[in-house]
Amino acid sequence: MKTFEEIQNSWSQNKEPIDEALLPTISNRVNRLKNKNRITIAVLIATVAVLVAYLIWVGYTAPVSFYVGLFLMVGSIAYRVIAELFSTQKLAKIALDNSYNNYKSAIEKYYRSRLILHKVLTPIILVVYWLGFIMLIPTFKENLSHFWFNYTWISSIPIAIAMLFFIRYHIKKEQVILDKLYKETSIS
Amino acid sequence: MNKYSKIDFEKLYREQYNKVLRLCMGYVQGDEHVAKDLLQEVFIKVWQHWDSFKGGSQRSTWLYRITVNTCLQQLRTHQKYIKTSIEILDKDTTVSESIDKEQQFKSLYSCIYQLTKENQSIILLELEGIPQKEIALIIGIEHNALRTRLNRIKTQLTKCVNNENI
Repeated sequence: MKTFEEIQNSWSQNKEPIDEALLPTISNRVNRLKNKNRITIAVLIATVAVLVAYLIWVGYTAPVSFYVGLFLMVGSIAYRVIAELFSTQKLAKIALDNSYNNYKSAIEKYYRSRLILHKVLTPIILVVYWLGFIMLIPTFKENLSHFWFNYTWISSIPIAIAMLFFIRYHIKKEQVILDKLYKETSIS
Repeated sequence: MNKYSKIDFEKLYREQYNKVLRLCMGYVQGDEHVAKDLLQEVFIKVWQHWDSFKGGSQRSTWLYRITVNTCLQQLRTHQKYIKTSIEILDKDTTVSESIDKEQQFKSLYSCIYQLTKENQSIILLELEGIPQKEIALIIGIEHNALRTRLNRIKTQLTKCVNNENI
């Protein structure tokens, strides 16, 4: 019959040699994460700049419906990307040195807001995106060859299906995390 | 992080390496490889949040809060940390003094794993010998409530390790 004190004693005797090689790895990974954030922001700014420039340039030579359609497509994607960036920032701002219970509550609140983002905001954004695409079709038909026009609209179908699966995947993924959070304090 | 902070960070890393590793191992049923992955994540967070330490508690208490929150958050969000086959010991096996150390740890990890995540955190911190007042601060519950709960968890764990039902 083991007592708790005996268990505790053998627990603290379980020692490993300190992994010194991990220190430079940690330092490198922190630097890589910093660079990754900088690159992400730079890529986003460049993408938005190129799209806005294209939108202005095309706007002068294309019909209004094309201009509006392109604006809806670019705008909806830009809005979703910005919403995602804000959401990531929100997660990063939750203080990790909170107590377990405070941190858990904040994380639960965060994932509930993520579910609203996926279940409500993202479908609205997708509807706006595809509305924009439909508005572009007459201009595509007018300006593209028969092959490229067919290619454009036919390829949009798998893209739409992939987007639906993408939303479904994220809803499921974050619902699983929420379920795990709810289960953490209940008796397993 | 400046040069002096980096020295302090490395000191903390060396001083707390085994405690953090054992805490992480406690969450993943003693899988050392996975625990080392978690330990790495913990110290990355410690580095990133180094300047946010306000000094209201000991640096070690601050580190254990980050350890508990990081380990559990990684387990919630990354499928790779979830064991496909949960190795729960056969209840008919007699756990006696003759069973080797590895087997005893396997049994202990298996018993810890059967607790809720909150209770796992409490007992892992207690096993590390962290004062109960500090554990209460890390978990975010009243000291008295923690004492009562801890007694119950200790009894459950001891019974389980001695191969009785939780």
